[in-house]
Amino acid sequence: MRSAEPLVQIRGLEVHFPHKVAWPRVERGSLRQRLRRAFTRRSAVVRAVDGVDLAILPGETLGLVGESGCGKSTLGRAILRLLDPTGGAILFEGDDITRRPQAALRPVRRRMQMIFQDPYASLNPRMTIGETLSEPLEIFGLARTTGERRERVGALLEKVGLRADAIARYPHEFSGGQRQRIGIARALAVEPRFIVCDEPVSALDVSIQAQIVNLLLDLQAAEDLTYLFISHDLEIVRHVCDRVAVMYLGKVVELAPAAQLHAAPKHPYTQALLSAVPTLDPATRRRRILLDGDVPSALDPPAGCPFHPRCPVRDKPAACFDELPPLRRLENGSLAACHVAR
Amino acid sequence: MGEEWLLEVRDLVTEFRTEHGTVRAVDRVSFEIEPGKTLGMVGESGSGKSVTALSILRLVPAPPGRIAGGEIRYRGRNLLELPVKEMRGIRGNDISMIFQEPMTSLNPVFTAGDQVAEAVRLHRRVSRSQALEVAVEMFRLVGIASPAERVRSYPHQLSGGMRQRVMIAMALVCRPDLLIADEPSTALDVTIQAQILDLLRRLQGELGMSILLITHDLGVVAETCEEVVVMYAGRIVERARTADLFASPRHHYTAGLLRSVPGFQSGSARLLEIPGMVPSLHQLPHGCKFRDRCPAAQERCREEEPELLPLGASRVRCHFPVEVGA
Repeated sequence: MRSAEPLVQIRGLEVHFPHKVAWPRVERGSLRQRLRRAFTRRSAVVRAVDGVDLAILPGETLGLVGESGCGKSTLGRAILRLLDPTGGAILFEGDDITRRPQAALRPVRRRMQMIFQDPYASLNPRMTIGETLSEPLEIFGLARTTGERRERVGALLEKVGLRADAIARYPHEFSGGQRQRIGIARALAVEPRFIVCDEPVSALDVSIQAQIVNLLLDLQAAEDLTYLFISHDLEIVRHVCDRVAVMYLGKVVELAPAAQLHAAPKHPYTQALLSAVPTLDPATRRRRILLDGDVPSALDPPAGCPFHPRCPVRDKPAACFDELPPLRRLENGSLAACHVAR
Repeated sequence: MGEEWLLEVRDLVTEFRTEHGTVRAVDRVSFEIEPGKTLGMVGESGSGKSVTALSILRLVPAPPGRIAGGEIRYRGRNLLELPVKEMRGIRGNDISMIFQEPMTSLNPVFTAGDQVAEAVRLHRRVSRSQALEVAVEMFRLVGIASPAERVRSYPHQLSGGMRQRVMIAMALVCRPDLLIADEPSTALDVTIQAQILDLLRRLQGELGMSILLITHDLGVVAETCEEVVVMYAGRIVERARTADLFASPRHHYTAGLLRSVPGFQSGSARLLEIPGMVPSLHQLPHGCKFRDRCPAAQERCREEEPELLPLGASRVRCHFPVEVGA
């Protein structure tokens, strides 16, 4: 059962990275001015995550979608404190962990884990699967004797649908789908409550994606897990998530229940994103909203609404150009950061 | 016979020598492409789709690779029998290719314009400045804003979508009759993917070329291709008109692929999955290569590999194909 108390709550979260512009191009001014400018290393700030509020409820799957560079992975890592936020607050099970030192974070780390996109890069090629899965058990003192460890590792392998003989084998002996099962087993080893799944099926073949998605759904039901599911694949997100947050240039631009987001997207960006997904039915090619250009740089986001330079809405009100739209509740209950959405 | 085809591939076999013996990455693959049409080729990693594409252009690295058999007829001429020099005249001029990764396909130390101009100068007798003018024209054609400035940009100064546009400009600069697009939009975000697919469609209309579109994304096929071949373990397992394939797939692999895509089925929480995994080319099962994962496999599938045979308007490699409407 879901309680009203969120498991994870983030308020106004910011993750800004310093960015040194090494050799700026200088084309105007006197020689002296140009030299001075060329040799001054200006520092700029990449606003990867820029003021995000989210609450993740126990037992739910919250989807986080957006295109590359929108800040979704940075947000996921910041929540786990794998990156240090530069502003805002992260509350896990009601405790503020935003500035907690790494040593003091240990007990929290047992409660939250991560599954990575590339199951090969995230496994140590020189460790057997047994060693990889035993390591977290040792670190957290969850299994004292060798026999106990073997038993728990065996149980983990069974849980994720791998054969027991995997224990003595190395990552290269497994296929992509099996490696992702190993990555999932490693995350489950410490019996977490909350798992950030960062593009867990993007690197897999279509026929294997379904297997891993089903495994994640089964495990969630069996282990009472809460997921933050980061993906660029809107169809998979609709399938596995209860609610979905859409990110653009470091900000959440829309938040709604998954079915509602797909049936009635409110933010023009969400509408364009959904319309861009190729449909499987050749007979009903949907009307596509083609966006112009690329996502602007997070170094220098546009003034006003960050989406306004690409926004297809005609006759935009002046506010779009100079006022940042807040995330507000619309008539159908969706939250959208748009001056125009109704 | 075969006069109406632009490209005709017959019983193509491409092998690779590995530590563990020789494997057939492409095994007796046959298909044709009509002028001005788009043929989709779908399959998962290792199904042989990219090797087929490289074989057409004779770009399979040898060794370890080797085209071991078959014919590739382009306008009636067998490309496999052409002298190297003539083949070079065909690549980029009559048949071009764009690749999945636009960053690694561009040379980082030359400007985008220089690289397009180089393609022009390889096939046409023009001066450097004329070639650069052609490049500017191509940049405009593929929808790059302020093309005269952009030709001077280096690849790292361009976004992923922009780089793929440059690749397309380079591939189309000599107005080829056939464009082989190997996962042209896979590395791109969906909104950029939509731009690139839209661009390819528009250019096909304007220039009238044929396209062989290789992808793992069934949605991309549904939207861009008239006909599709589905590959599995180096073989074509089904070939059909796109509408037929999606309405009633006849091979159990195709049917399983379609069912495993979220969005194809609605309602149920669990996705329908294809059990097991793609077999290694080193240890292909005897008989039908899909039988270990197939819900309809019987004794005969173990003993005898099915041929690709006509079934209705499609061709299917299966002893017990899916019933229409099942």
